[in-house]
Amino acid sequence: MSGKGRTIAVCGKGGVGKTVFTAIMTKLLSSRGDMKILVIDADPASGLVPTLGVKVEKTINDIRLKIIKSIKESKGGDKLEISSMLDYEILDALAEYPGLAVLSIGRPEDEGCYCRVNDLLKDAIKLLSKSFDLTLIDGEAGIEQINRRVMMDVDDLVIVSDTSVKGVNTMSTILHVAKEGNAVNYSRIGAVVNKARSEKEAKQAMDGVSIDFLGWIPEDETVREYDFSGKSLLELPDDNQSVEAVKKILENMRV
Amino acid sequence: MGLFDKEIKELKAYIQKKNDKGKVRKIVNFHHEDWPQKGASEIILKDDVGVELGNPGNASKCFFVWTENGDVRDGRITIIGPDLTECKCESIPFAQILIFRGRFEDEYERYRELRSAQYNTNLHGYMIRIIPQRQQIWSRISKDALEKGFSLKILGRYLIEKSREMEYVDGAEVIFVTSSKEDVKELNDISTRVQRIFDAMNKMVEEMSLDCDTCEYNDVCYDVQELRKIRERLQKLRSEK
Repeated sequence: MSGKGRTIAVCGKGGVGKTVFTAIMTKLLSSRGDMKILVIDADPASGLVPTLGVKVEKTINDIRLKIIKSIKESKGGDKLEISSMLDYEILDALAEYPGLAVLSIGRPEDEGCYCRVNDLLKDAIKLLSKSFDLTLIDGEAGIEQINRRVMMDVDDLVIVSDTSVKGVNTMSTILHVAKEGNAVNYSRIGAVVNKARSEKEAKQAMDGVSIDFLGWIPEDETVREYDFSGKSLLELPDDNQSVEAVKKILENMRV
Repeated sequence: MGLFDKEIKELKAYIQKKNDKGKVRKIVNFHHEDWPQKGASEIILKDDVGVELGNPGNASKCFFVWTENGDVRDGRITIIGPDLTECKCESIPFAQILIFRGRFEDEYERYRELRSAQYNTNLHGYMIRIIPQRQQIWSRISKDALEKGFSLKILGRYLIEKSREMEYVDGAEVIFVTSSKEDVKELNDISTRVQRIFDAMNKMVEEMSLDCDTCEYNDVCYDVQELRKIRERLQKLRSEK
């Protein structure tokens, strides 16, 4: 662990296994018992919430719409009123479990541009994440979305791909955007290859992509079965091969 | 007459009524070693909660009033209902009311400062969320803090001392209600009027128009002489500019 408040954002092409990777990280880290983890499902389709088997009653977008309604009805108040309302509502939106809290961002905003509210929401999420030992963000394909909807600064940016050319091409594009420096500020960036048959195959797939290789996750029938039957990945056995693989990735990341 | 004289009188009557039912404890000049302060951010998750006060599913009320020369017993903590260590449930209804005595000439600024002071309660093992305009307060006390003896007396003393740091406050007392949802809800009439007075005051300062015919608060100004004085003062100031 590199200190309180570390934030890890996961991104990559749709379907490559970002959510499975984030869910297994959540399982491993929350079961340590010595840290508080905040998990943010930043995918509008909210795939992480059912994968973890948690229940979320309210999303950040629900809060955003509520605040906008308040402002339109002239009940919003000044900055302190809106900030305090956001802090209150976000605590109420947390799905809480021992050592773990889950926050869902929800569907993209559709009520016009309320930059002030968006900025205050991002401030509130950032402040909240500082109360946790570690924050995991399961993002969309584009890292711009993490900036726009969650936060601007993360410590680790992890790009996930499978062994397909499309997946790796998307990884290259994300890497390019990240290195331009306008999307998200990060301290470290690395890659994880999912659904590979061997480390050799994983590394081969990434050939030509200039990024730190953090590890690989095998194709896993058990994970597929859990996914298919809607079983929480938090319940995966500790000796499952994907769990073992993610454990190694976390060691490589010094988490 | 002060801005909140009527409300303070009704609060005292409310306490007397609860006292007659044997629910009230009054503590003056409570001494305890300083409770440790926390860092800027500390979250208490459900699993670590010893007791939760006024959560969204429970009754909750939080407001403050002031007086220039009314009856305020500096340092008094009034607890209506059990203190935290005596609570039988993990979630209880909660009201927190502060009464200040002092000089509040610049009412708008005083309101904003006293409001912020309530929001920034940095006690270790105590997490708070307040929506001032809705007068809602939701707090959590960790199991650890509860085991170490955190109580409403400690919270009350902290709130009083913090407000006494304001140079214009020369006395403060606090009232906590934990007895029942009904006892908290009984404060609704008083708290609604207090909020409308503040809202009316804020509107006068924040908006240029002082047209009473179109103002939704003209009933409050009609009732509260002090608000009319603020309005007259603002009108005079604006006409001089």
